[in-house]
Amino acid sequence: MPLYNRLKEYRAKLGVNQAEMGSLAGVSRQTISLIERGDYSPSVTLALKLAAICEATVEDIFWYEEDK
Amino acid sequence: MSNYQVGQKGNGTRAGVKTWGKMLFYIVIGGVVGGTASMLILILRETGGFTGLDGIYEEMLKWMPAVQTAAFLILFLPSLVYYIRAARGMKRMYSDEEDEQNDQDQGKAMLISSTNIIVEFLLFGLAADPDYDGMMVSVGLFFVFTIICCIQQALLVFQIKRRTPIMKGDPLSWNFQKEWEGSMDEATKMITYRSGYKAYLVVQKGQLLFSVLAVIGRMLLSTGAFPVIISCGLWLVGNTVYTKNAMKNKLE
Repeated sequence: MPLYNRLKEYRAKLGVNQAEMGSLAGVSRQTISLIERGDYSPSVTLALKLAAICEATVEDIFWYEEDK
Repeated sequence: MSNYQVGQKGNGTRAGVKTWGKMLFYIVIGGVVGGTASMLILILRETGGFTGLDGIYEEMLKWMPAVQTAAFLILFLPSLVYYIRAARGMKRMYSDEEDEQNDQDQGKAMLISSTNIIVEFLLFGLAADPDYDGMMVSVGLFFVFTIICCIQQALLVFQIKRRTPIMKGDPLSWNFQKEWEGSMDEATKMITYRSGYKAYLVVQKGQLLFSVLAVIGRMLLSTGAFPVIISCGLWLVGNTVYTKNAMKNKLE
């Protein structure tokens, strides 16, 4: 999947686990885990929510790269 | 017509010939497999091969309450272990890995418990023989075991809800499935829909096989028309519901 992210790093900075991050964003722990592993590309709404929680921009956390 | 278009047409014709060739090949293979299976069934019937199966069924019928109990325990105990492990894990959830393990345990408990209900239903169906004296005992056991499995599944739902507070729905309510689906977040919905589509594809293939077997059984083993009607009826319902929903072209 060509969407990469630094969500795990930002979560570590906040000092919360996946369940707590999920609860802050109103999603399940599994969703956070799937995003971090790159197995799921979040919707724009969720990406904006996560960026707001991490006090960063969406581009800081997510970036797109074509598959080589 | 440009060279590009001519090339496309040429490729299209070649692809068409290939598709028809494949279709013909599958028809021939299907005919050979069906013919061989019918021949084997005929040989088995003529040589009394199915009498052995009748013997096994009758022997199993004698021990049906024990078979039901054993099947229930074999499946219930591991699902209980997974349920307890997940419940214990919930009390000490610290790392993401432990959370992941808990999800796995809950999933396994649910899968084994659902399998238990299906197996109990199968054994109940086999025991529902008017000539079988112990039928009422089997019916009683079926009810007891199925109720235990349903209680276990309800407890698992409560456990999942405690772990994932966004999930809503009362497992004892008629609207449970709708409420549960409505409370799923985007990734969970995607996984559920993808799993549903995979299950649909498997069932479609299974229905084809089962319908062929039902027709062969009707012709060679006098199993009657009922299995053919049920199989094709389910096939039709599955196909119609899927296609109608796909044609709506909107997310509900």
